Amino acid sequence: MGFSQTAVFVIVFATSLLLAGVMLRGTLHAQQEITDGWREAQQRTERQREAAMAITDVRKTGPTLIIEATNTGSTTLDLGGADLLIDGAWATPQITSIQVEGAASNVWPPGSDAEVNLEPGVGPPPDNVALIADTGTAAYWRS
Amino acid sequence: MAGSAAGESILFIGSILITVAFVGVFSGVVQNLSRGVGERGDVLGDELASDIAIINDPLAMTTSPLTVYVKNTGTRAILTPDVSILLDGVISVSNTKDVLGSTDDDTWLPGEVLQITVNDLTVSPGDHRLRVVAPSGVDDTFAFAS
Repeated sequence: MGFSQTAVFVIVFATSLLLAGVMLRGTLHAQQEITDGWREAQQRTERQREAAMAITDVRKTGPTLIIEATNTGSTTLDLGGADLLIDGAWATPQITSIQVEGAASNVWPPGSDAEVNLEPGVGPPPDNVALIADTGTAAYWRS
Repeated sequence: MAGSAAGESILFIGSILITVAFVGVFSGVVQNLSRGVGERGDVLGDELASDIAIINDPLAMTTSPLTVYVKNTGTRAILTPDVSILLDGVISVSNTKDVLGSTDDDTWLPGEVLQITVNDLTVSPGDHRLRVVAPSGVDDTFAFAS
C-alpha cells in the first residue's frame, strides 16, 4: 500500500505541475493580448483627444483644387493617412500632392500649415469639403 | 503469502488506473479552461485594439441610396462581411461593402475606408442616427439630417 500511495502521489504531483504550466501559459497569453490592446487603445485615445485642425481656404485654380489647412491640435498628424470628401463623395484618390510648410511631406506637426492639391476635374468649386485625419478627426469647410 | 502479494498487486494496479483516469479527465478540463482563457484574451485584445469612425460629411450626405464611409482607425484588420449597419435602430440586411482603393473587399485594413451602400432602407426627411458595428463589438454612431 505504501508503494501504491507513493506512485499515486507522484502521478498527481507531476500532472499538477504540468497543468499549472498549461494554465499559466493560457493566462499569460490572455494577459499579454489585453495589455497590448489596452496600450494601443490608450495611445489612440490620447492622439484623438489631441488632434484638431481647421481648413483655412479652398480655392480652384484651373482643374486643380487647393485646400489649405492648419494643424490646430497638439499632436503630429499623418497626411498620408488622411481622407478627403468633396461635396460628400470620397475624393482621396484625386490627391496629386501634399505640402507642409511649402515642402512635400506627409508629416504635419502642430501649428504648421498644409496644402493639399487635387484634380477633381473641370467644374465649379465645391460647396463642402471635409478633411479627415488618420485619427478619424474631421475638419469641414463650407462655401 | 502469494495471495497477499497478488492482492497488493491488484490494489496497486487499481489505484494507478483510477489515478490515471482522474488525471486524464482533469487534464482535459484544465486544457479547455486554459484555451478558453487564451481565446477570451484574444477577443478582449481585439476589442481594445479595434476602432472605427464614420467620416461622412453631415451636411453633404448621399441618401439615395444611403452611402456611408467608415474609416478603420484601429490597429487590427476587420472582416467586412461581419460589419453591421443600422439606420434609426433598423438593421440593414441588403447592403454593398467596398473597401475603397483595395481589391479585397472582405478585409478592411487599418487606415482604409469602407464604403457601405445601403439598398434596403430609405432615408425620410428629418433627423437620423446611423450606427456601424464591427465584429469585435466596437461601434460608431453618426447623426445627420436630411
